[in-house]
Amino acid sequence: MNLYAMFASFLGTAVEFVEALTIVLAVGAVRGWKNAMSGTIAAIVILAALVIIVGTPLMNIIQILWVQIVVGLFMLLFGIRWLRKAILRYSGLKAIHDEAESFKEEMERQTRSGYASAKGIDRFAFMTTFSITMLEGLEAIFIVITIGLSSQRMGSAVTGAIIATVAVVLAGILLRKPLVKIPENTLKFIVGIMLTSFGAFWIGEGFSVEWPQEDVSILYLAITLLLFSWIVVKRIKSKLAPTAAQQSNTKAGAV
Amino acid sequence: MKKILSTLWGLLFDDARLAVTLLIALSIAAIVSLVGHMPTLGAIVIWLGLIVALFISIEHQLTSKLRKAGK
Repeated sequence: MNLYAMFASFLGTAVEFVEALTIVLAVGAVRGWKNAMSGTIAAIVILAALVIIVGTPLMNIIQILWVQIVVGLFMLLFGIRWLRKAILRYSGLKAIHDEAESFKEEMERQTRSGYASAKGIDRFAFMTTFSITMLEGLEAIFIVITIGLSSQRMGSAVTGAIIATVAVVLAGILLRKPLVKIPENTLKFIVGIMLTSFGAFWIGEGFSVEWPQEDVSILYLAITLLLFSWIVVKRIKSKLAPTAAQQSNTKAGAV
Repeated sequence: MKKILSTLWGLLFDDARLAVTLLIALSIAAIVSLVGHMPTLGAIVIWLGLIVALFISIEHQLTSKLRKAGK
């Protein structure tokens, strides 16, 4: 057993899976655990089948660049749409209504339009968790194969990856309950920021841009979006305040 | 690909300004990075593109609301 190979594989796999876990947890809390988990499990099954059938040549077959562009664009478009809506709601440009009711209405609308299946599978949740698990899983597999081949200790590299997977799954189970306590609109805002940051990062990777500090850039992209949202919400609230006061005065006058 | 196109279509209907600004920023980033061989500038273009796209979209919403309230 090569401890260096095992530890390097553990770290590499853990980093990739933590990224996937954050999205799976967020989507699960907002759109339901059944939908989020079905996407994750489907991706794991496909990845496992690929590893068993193809093995180490997988690295030469799959062009990760295209996976990053497609998944990145998908995440970015969904994320920025949610983020925009959350900012509009926080600032008062859109009413904050019952999110559970809104989600139910959205699901019914999607089922009618064929966007969600008759069994009630939320395609957004499925596709999001499926693509994130697929992308991060592929990256983790490539890390394990690279470490295993370069150190000539594939067994140690695979063991490290298995330990990391178990640790991340346990962390996910522990974090699931506290997440439910966060208000729906706040969660949507956080998910919007996360999907936008991750999506922008991956699409950038696909275009071969050079992110300063590499993966850490996801964090500063998220911080920038958070600061921007805070400034915009403050600004809009101050602009809308005189209008709201004028409207309430008019109503009072009419009574 | 079909999924991305339908998402993009939905976003265009939801807010065309946001989608168009974002796609312009992404196209510029791709050209700057892949053709111009300036990968760091490409990252900055994506980073600023997100902020500019959101700003233009939200600013338009605010202007429309204030105009309606003024009537």
